[in-house]
Amino acid sequence: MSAQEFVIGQTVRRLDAVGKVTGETPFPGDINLEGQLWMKIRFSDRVHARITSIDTSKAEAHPGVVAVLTAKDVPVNEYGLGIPDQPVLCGPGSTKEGADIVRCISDQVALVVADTEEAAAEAVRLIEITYEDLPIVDDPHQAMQEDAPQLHPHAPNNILTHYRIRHGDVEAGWAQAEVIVEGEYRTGFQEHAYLQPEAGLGYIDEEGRVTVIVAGQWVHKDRQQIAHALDLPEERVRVIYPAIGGAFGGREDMSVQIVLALAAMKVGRPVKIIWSREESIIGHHKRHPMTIRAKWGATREGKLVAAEAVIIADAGAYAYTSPKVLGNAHLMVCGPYEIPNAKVDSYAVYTNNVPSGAFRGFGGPQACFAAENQMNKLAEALGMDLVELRLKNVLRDGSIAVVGTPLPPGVTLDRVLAEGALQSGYWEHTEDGWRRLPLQQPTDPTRRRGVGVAMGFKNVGFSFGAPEENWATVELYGETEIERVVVREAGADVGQGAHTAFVQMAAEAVGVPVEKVELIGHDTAHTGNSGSASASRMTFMAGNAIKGAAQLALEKWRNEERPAIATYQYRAPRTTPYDPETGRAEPNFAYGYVAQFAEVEVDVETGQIEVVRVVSAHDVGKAINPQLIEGQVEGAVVQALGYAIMENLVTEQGRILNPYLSTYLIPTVWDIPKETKSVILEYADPRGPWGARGMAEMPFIPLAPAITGALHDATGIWFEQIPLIPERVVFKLREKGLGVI
Amino acid sequence: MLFRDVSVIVRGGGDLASGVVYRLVKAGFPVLVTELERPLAIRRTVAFASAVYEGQITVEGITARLVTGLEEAAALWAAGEVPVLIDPAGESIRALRPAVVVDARLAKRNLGTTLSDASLVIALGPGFVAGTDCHAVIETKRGHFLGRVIWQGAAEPDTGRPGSVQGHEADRVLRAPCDGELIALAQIGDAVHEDQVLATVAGEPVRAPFDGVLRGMLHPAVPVTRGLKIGDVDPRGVRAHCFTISEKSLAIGGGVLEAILSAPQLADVLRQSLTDGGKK
Repeated sequence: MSAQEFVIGQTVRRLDAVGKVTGETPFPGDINLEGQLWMKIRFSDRVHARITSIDTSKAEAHPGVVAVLTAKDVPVNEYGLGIPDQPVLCGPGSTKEGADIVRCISDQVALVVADTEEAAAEAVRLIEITYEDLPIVDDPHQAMQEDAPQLHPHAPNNILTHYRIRHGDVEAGWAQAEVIVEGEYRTGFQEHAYLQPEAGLGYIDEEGRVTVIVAGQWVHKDRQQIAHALDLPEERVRVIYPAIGGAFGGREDMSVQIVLALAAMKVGRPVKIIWSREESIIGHHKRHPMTIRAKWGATREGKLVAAEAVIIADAGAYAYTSPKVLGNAHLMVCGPYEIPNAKVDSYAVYTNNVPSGAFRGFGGPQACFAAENQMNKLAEALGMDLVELRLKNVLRDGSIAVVGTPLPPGVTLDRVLAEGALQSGYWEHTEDGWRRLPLQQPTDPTRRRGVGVAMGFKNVGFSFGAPEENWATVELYGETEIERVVVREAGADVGQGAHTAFVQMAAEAVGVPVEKVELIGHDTAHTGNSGSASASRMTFMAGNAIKGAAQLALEKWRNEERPAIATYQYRAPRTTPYDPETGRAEPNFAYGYVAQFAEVEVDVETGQIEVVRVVSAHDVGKAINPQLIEGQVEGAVVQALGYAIMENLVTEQGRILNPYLSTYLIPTVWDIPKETKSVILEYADPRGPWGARGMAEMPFIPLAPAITGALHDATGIWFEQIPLIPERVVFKLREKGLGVI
Repeated sequence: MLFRDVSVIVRGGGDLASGVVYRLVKAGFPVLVTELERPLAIRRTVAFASAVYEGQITVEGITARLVTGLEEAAALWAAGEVPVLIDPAGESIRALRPAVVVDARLAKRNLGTTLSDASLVIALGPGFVAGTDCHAVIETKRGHFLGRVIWQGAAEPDTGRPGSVQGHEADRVLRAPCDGELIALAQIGDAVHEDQVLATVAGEPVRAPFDGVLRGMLHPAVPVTRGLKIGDVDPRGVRAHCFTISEKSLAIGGGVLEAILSAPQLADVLRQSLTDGGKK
């Protein structure tokens, strides 16, 4: 191998750039197979009801219909990423007890497979379902009451998960506290709104495997859940991801995977489905709405001495990843701060709402919203600078977090905040400490401007004792020199550019230019388990696996093996779950750190908010591909802006009233900040590949509280509820007499 | 528009000038405002000069718009609006040949206004002598004589001290402590507290002298020099005052209106206008 330029740290053009820009890259809905049939799903018509009978005769008699499938056709009628608490199809005659009950409008009841999509759509409406309504509970607070309807036998009072933290002596903490701030924070649902609605094909492949082409985040876990429901050995099931049109956690749970496999198995022909946007919004989970009560105390010098919090998360009708999401919120609700005395109780509660689950940040944004608003209130109560106060309290190497253990080495929160504050242009550091620079107010007195800051941390990788692995294979071809490198790595490229990063890391590890590297990606037939493309883990996990495999392959190469092929399993350092009584844990093996600064303008007459400028500072450890990182930062900022001020999913008695992008508004080019500045800091993670940390979720996490901080700066009003839709903002402004002459 | 042939150029678009413009537009005169490239108006919410910065401004129902040439004026007049032209040298006077010129710049001295500018030349406040610099002067000093038309002689001399409001005189005006860039930290209409930092100039704080409402703040686009008037605080603390034309401006506007309607040299054209305007 010749000496070469470093590939790591370079903005290598994305492998998928040209194909996606020209439209040539096929997404699941673009793929067609010879002889394919079309499928439509009958979703539940009721929010909570027992299905007493299903009459499919009219649908079956409809021209073009090939098959109608219901609960009785599902071999093992249950699934779930963590807990298999959801029927594949709801209805009578199932193997699974309680599968005759629909618990939310996302429940699927029947499938129609027909020659055309139109025929399937017509026939699916002809299925006659008789329901016996059951009482609905759509509020987690009510669901926890003794007399509330019980949704699942394994969850008394509908409490799916309850975590505790009992750290230090919280009563002694309150005795020391000279200043106390409190708040009750509410966050809303959020829809993933990925570009590509759920779609895919089921068929039997050349080796007789039940195969599903779909967009997801973890091929091997999809395969496991399909195999379980179909009662097949995993080897008899194959999952392939083509290009994936965004995921953000929304594809971590099943949507069309199992039903496509079931239909293909039953009819023996390829079966295709494409969800409409309405079906997508109704059919997959959302970000958890949470209510968080928080009370923090500090000394007059600004040292945090006590914190209490109660989190109530609406899990919706099924578990999905709720216990894990809640785990993150539970950890982050006290902020990235050293607080010697803390008491936290967190609950995930079943309701008849659409299930809540994974979404970029995974419980972090909700907890950060509470924690950072608390910090902002504390700064005001103490008359201290926002940056100064945070720096007094941030976790550093060796600091004990509220779970009773330190964060893994390489804690850089202080540096991220300080560097971000300086580069934001809103703060200066003087001999007397940190100082906000004056901010020009708009000349139009109906508009006010403010600046806010918030910071956060987020685990890289699964957590709380979940085993972590990532398999990679590196194959070196050539005679005297390496001519071609093949990498097999299943990690999903959900649009974030993971495949490009994999190729860069392989090229670096082997010592060849990127052009020589070929990637074989997400197909269970050709790759080993990589774990999910979630939790900001893929660069960290796949990078370590690729690096390990490359080293082994190079050794074989030096031993003259041709081709030199090596497979390596990277296992992440061990983590531990929360102690059920005290919450003590070593929850994570790596973190990414973020500080954000938002400049916001509010029209005090209309309540319209404009986020003018965002500065997002990150410790990414090592920027494998700086442009991909900037892309992640800008994308996350836009998505978080939508979450904070626009995206308002309206539900009533478990039904979504605005399941369209015309009524559920996400940011457009007119809504995004005029400038989003990425401050990319590289303080190596000792465990990361080339020092890299994960970063994909981090720029989402603190934006909402940075915006509410800026609003407070502009108006003097604390906003404790998001989304900050204009009517909500106007109401608070008018309460304080703002916006009226 | 009653007096469509009796056009008026008002030089200056500050708050007092805007009271004049308001009176004249309401009474049916087509008015053009000329301003500097960066107007020095501080009560920007009630100054048509703000159209220079914002493109347009509406004060008590009358909208002023920035225009780039005189040819745009007629359409605005037809719509009942006020064109504002950047014209520091007053070149539009020679081009438009208005019937009336009002020097409402409140420079406290004559910046070049002459009797030959129009049939009727009116000037506001001290620095002018009626009969020498202009035909009429309007008293602008608060008190008994405010708004009077002076056909001979001058207004009360400039004391260098603003009139008293609730016992506050000079201290209600905010002045730049040094040269430099102005950063406004508060907005017109904000309730402010004594010692609150309302703005900075080159980092130097400008504080509220007493509790009240911030009534004026210079546009931050103006590079300021030490001692320049950059804002004012009103101890009466009534926010609505910041968004409506003051009694003083209207009194002066009344004086201008009286001068126009009573000037013998305009009698014919006014009468003609009334007859024609009534028909059209």
